Amino acid sequence: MATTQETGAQEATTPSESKATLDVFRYIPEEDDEPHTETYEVETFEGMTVLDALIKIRDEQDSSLTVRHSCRMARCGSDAVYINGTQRLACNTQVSELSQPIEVEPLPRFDVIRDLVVEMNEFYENMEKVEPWFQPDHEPETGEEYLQSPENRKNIDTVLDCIWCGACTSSCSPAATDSDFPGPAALAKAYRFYKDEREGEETRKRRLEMLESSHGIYRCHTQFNCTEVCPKGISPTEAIMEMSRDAVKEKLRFWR
Amino acid sequence: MSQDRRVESYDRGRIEDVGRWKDWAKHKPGMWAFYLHRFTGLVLSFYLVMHLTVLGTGFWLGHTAYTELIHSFESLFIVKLLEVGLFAAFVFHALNGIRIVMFDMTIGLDVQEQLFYLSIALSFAVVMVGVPFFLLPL
Amino acid sequence: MSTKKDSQTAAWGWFFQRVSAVGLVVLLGFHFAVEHFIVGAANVSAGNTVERITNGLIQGDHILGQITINMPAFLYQASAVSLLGFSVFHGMYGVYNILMEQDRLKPYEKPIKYFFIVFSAALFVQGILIFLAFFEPFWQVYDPR
Repeated sequence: MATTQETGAQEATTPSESKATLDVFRYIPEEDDEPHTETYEVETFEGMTVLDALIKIRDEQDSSLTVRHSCRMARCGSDAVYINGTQRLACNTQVSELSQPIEVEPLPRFDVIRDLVVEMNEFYENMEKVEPWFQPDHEPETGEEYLQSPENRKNIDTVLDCIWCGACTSSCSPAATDSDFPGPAALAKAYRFYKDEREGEETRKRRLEMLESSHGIYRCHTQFNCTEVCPKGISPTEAIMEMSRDAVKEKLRFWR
Repeated sequence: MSQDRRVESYDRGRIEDVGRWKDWAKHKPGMWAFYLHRFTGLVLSFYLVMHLTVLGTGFWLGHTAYTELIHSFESLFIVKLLEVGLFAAFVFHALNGIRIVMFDMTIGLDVQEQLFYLSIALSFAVVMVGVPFFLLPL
Repeated sequence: MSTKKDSQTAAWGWFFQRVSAVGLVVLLGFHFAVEHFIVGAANVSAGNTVERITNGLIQGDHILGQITINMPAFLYQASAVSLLGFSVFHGMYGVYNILMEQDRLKPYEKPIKYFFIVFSAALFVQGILIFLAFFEPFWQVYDPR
């Protein structure tokens, strides 16, 4: 490839010089009344992700394009966007596997601050509402450590991976229409603590009590969108179903 | 705390992608199950209210009028077709409902898509078997 | 976590929705079978409805030919009333829940709840009246001819 460029002999279209077209949602509140879509063409390289493409556009073509990103390796959860009709992490999505033109939009059902950046405060508030911190209701059995069996740890293996990206909550219609519903991410997070045996029975009951209401876990309609879009392979639906089953058994017990 | 950090943002509305038809192609089985279940549920609920009202009015007018009312409805072919539709709505709602009750008991959550296809297939089969009962005699 | 706690646990509502669901699969299936598969919708008359409700005698001559089923009257009556109760509850509670999960209807939560309670009661009463009108003491009142 280098030799071709040096000699400048011909315009070689090697596979690495193919292009991708991106239709990106643009909205700059200081300038625009309404959002609009801008089309960009970028040269691709092997293994290019959508985030790479967006950064390339920002560096070479339009420096006003704004997108949240940080780690570029699906750990920080910053760059969840709506690509070709599905919630995905931009850094985790290969340009080559997408149909052109690639439509990039901010997460649906969140307010847009600017371009692809959405208002996440409500999402974080919902996460905080389920008290996502360790609350033991007793002293440790031995010494200073709370012990957890490997089997118990296995139960929460997947939900521990949550990176708070917001893709699941963006895909859930009850989360969108009902502001009292915490959303799949918050409920999966609550499940992580609910299932953890180190907290003790009382805390476990209290956690379930917080969630079981018609605007809580019973609101899940098993759409499974959350499970489909989660970049970490978590299934909030399974977590919620288990908690609602337990909650009903708990609530109806005294009358049976 | 978060109120202080709130910035001006553009509200695109909550359910925007219900109106975006191209997104519908992206919907997965679980979402289709939800849409169909809700749609058939509303159809059946509306039918229930209508059924009780119609039978009720037929009734206040007496037994003879009741029988005549039913016969006059059933002589219309369009009514027979609508009955097939009602039956289809019931069968799908029932079978998908069983799927949902299974999920409530945390059974089959890992094969949710196959269960949806199964309920569609069974609904189709049952409705096909039932069609002659509704349409005949012509 | 919801910021609002139901005054009574929603678990009962959730539970009865499932109970009525399973009940309806059986009862409504039976209802379809009797009215459409055995008797045939065009053959339904006040006369044979009276036979079914008061005597539990299901007679039909439709595609499957002549079928006669004799079941205890009480059982048929119980199935009819349960069908009415379950379907009114399941349907109305379902629609109520759809409305309750819409944010824009939140200000009207109480009126909507009372409306559904009243409306469901009215539907149930209407159904019971239709049911009762097939019994002899009542039909004199309802048949002007």
